[in-house]
Amino acid sequence: MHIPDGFVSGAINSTTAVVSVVALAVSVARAKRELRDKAFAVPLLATVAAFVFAAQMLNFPIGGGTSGHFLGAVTAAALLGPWSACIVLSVVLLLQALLFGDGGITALGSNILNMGVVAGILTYPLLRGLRAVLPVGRKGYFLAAAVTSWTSIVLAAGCCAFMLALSGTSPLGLALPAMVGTHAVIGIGEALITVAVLTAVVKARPDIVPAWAQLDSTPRPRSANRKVSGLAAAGLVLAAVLALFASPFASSAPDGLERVAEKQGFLAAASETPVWTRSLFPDYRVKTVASEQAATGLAGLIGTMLVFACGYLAIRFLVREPDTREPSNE
Amino acid sequence: MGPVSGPPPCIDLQDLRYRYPDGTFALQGISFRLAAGEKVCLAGPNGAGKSTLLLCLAGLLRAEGTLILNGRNQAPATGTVDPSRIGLVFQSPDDQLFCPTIGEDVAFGPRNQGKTEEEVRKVVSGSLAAVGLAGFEQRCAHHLSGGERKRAAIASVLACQPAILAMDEPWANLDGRACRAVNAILRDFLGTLLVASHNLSRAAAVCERLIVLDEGQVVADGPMADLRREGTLLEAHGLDL
Amino acid sequence: MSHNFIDRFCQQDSFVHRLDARVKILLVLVFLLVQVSTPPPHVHSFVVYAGLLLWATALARIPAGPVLGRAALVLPFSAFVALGLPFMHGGETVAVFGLHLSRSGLWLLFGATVKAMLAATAVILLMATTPFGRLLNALRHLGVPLFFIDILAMTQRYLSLLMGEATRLRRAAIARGYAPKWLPQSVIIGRLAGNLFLRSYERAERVYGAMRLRGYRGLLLSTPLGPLGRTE
Repeated sequence: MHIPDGFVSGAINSTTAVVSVVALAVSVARAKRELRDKAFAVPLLATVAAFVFAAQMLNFPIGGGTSGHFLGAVTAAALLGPWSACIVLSVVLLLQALLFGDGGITALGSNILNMGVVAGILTYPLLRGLRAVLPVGRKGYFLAAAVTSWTSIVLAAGCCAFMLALSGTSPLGLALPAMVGTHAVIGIGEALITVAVLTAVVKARPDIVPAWAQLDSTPRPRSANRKVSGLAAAGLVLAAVLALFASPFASSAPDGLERVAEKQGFLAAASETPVWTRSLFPDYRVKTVASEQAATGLAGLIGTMLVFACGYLAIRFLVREPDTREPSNE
Repeated sequence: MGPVSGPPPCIDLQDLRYRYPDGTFALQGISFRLAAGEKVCLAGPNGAGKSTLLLCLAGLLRAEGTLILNGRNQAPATGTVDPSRIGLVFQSPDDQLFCPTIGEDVAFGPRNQGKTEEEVRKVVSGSLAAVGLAGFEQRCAHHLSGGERKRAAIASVLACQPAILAMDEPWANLDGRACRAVNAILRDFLGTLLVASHNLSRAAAVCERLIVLDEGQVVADGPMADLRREGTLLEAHGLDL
Repeated sequence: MSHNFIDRFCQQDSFVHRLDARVKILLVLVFLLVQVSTPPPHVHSFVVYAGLLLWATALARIPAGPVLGRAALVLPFSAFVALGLPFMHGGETVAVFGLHLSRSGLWLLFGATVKAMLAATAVILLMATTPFGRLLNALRHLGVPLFFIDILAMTQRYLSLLMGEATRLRRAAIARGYAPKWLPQSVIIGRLAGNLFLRSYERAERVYGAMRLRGYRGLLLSTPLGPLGRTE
């Protein structure tokens, strides 16, 4: 899903370029913190980047004569952390664009956003969330990685489709099913390869696996807090995915209340001029965006995020917790 | 054993031990002394502990026991490595040539030692000339042949001007011409040389003393010419003549 | 190996080769931005752009044939998405070989193909006239953090090595009967990838050891910044 030059509009490319630069700046700062040995960072990230580059050359068939290839964002995140994964993917994308023309230089920001930020950083809460919820041990670790890596591919493909739609290159109704459809299958390959890599590492070099993975199956008292935030994180990501991808295709048929209002004849009583005129997303759409479906999806995503933020802030500041906190296990 | 009186030994090991993380001993009490300027071959079968010993000497592994390099007590290694005291050439040059160009690889050590750009430039051209790669500054490592890469790796270590040069299997994967080129460099080296290898015929052209290692222990230590005549001993420890 | 082509030409000498790498990078960026935002129906603009690139290629004393040949390799990527456009888009249609294709879609297809080709040519020219180390140094002058530059440098250094290892691993699998026909067989790719990862990680540890042995304290390419226009 490397976007070539000329497929995504200049507006989107410039926006994503800015976002990617910011994300990379943050990643550089945080990667140095998340890696155990800071001086090891350069040779480690460089060889992992070269590995990802080489592994992306190994194609696998997905039926219908087409093939897919590995992305590696979640593999890198599972072993090195999300910020290092973003740096690794960005290095790979830059070198692919410069040395092989794979992905346009002007589209670099968009590609980094999709494959570095979305696939590498934004899916990390899902990985940690699933890990906190699933049983301790190898199986839980691999399952969390499998689900997250599949999600990363689908999410990145969906974002790519959105970029094409927002640029007017391809209507969302065509791009989204095409991209998400093919990548739902490719995602299976990604999940299989990710688990295979992690299996090899766990077997030969368990010291590389990070502490939060908790591979040994000795049951440890689990902090209830950890479990809840894990569920919350997983839930948020799933809600975002649904809001972004499913809402554009939501039925336009009237909902229960409207239907009844129509039948009973009191629909006309609804005020012509709404009381509240400064609606953020009138008719569940972002006004400035051209494509109707993309507009709906974006509105859905932003709306979901706002609701989550309000709910989180409300609970944080209004609910008083009793002072009996369980010690959290790291 | 090396000389007991006279100038202090350059390398002095007394009961050096190294344990793998799982607890097994890789080195079980190594003791020997090397005088300054000596050229010694450390031979032994695969798994004898030669590479491990070199890594302990270089300071990358923490060993137990006494390890004194050029008068300074080294063990247990605290992670502070001094490239001017001991330089180690790895078996695979690709592990040591990690910069975009050969020139930068060779300059890496001197720059970290705090030399000025002018001094670095001189050291780089001098080191490359010493290994027969004059003018190779702009070349990339992946374009060089195996022999050229080995010599470039040696240059990158020589550029740090170490008093002791340690080499791990210097003749591995090299053809005859490349081996002879490496030997010429080693013969010209003025400091103390310690070569780990199971290739005795090549080592004999450069080293006058042989220390045989097997299963983490020294089993023989003496003049190269004499020990090479002990066929049964060599065979018993996995070495060819 | 693909970037042997580029290496062949980047050590030559010409006005373009001697031009400061920062200037070249900025020129290429401006060119890319201008050409990519040109609406497809402005065919005369694209002719001008192509002319500029051919002139630059001649100035750099690089044969145009190989450059264009390399650039054309990117067309399949664009074609995959672009080919469907004349069929997908609505609006006014044009009859082509009996098919009714969307006019706007056809323009988009033309635009995508031409822009991809021009972009690829410009980037190839940049890479063919600038040794990679100099390019990195220029990026450093332009503000990219040293940490990122160091990683780029080392990745590029080990790229051909790792790609070679991946190819060898795949060949070994094929020699033992690996002929993937359906998705679950990607597990075998997974095992190759796992092997490759472990090798990469252990190489990273050895390289790190080699770096520490030569006094590494966290900075790889510690070349001091030179003045503008310096050829090194």
